[in-house]
Amino acid sequence: MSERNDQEWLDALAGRGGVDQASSDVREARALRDAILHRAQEEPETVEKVDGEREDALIARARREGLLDADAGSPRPTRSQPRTAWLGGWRSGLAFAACVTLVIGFALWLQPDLAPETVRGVEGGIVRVEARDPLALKRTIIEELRAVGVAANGYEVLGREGVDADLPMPLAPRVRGVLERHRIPAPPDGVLRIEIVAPPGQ
Amino acid sequence: MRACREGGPAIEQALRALDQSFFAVLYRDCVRTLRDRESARDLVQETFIRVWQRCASFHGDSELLPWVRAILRHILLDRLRRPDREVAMDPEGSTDSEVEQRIVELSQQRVPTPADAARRQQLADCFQRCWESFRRAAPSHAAVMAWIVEDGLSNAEISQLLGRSPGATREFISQCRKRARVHFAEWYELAFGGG
Repeated sequence: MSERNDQEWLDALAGRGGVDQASSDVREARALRDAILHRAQEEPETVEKVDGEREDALIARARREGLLDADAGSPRPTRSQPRTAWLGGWRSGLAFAACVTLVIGFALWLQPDLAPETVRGVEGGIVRVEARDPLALKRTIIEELRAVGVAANGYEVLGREGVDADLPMPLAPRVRGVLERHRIPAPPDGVLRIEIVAPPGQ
Repeated sequence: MRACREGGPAIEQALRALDQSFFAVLYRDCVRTLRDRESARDLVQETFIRVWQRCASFHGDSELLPWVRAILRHILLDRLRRPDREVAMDPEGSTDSEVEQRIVELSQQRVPTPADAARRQQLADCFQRCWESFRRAAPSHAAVMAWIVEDGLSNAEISQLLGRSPGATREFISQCRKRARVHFAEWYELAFGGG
């Protein structure tokens, strides 16, 4: 099935005009479209437009997720509270600074031990890569590709970090350089798909 | 949307207004895709939370419902792709060649014009069985195909919905078609080859 066939099929499936009516792809998609539009669908029970209980559950969830002030509606601070609040802010500031120092120190300690990624091969057009920190590698590749003018997208599916990009062909040396830096083979059709996982047992 | 951007106490009111305006329509979409009412309620709620989180990216000149619906569809696709729902993917190009060959033959024949109600019913029942099989095996592909039919999505819109590049989106479409051919083989046979 060629790309053109797929496009004709998609256009007919979406009900767009300007397709070759005699094409078997178009007839197939038209029949499918008609059947999908007329398929039996599950009809949910009628729900009330205004449902206080449902709204309250939404508001409670928004609070849990920090979108709304959790203390909203609680009494205002008394006069003796400002000093304590200031101390709380001062203490939490110190704690935050200590945490940041620890995290940076830990990251620096880990840095020399970071192993480079390993390309495990290409399956079905997808370059399989193993890396200790798949998310970090994904971000690095995306940034590097974008820096050389390639529109790269990141995604995550089933625990695998992925990068998609349509590389302009022929490959510019700068783009080729990014691929070589990560030992990623250049895709012959310019459609780059990379999936990164952590090594087994990590 | 204004309340979302400005923050403050109006947010609670804005969330309630979102629920009142869109819950019913989004819940219906969700139940039709997931077939699970509890999960549908949960996902619609999650959608409203995301609407709040993303309100800065809403353009005031566009319609609100399509924008909210696009957020719901992202969430639905995430849910459909979860491992507990995912069925092992066919390896690339593993479409049964016999089925492929038969479909090509059948699709070259005429589009059926069912002569009687019994035949229409037979076709509808067969389609429903095939659709269920397709939906179970490839839930995200089935959902996206239904949205393409219902909303006439363009390539760019599909790409945005999937969060993938145009090339990966083309491949996704190609997969939809290959998988549909496998799961709808019986229906294609009945529809195009029944005579």
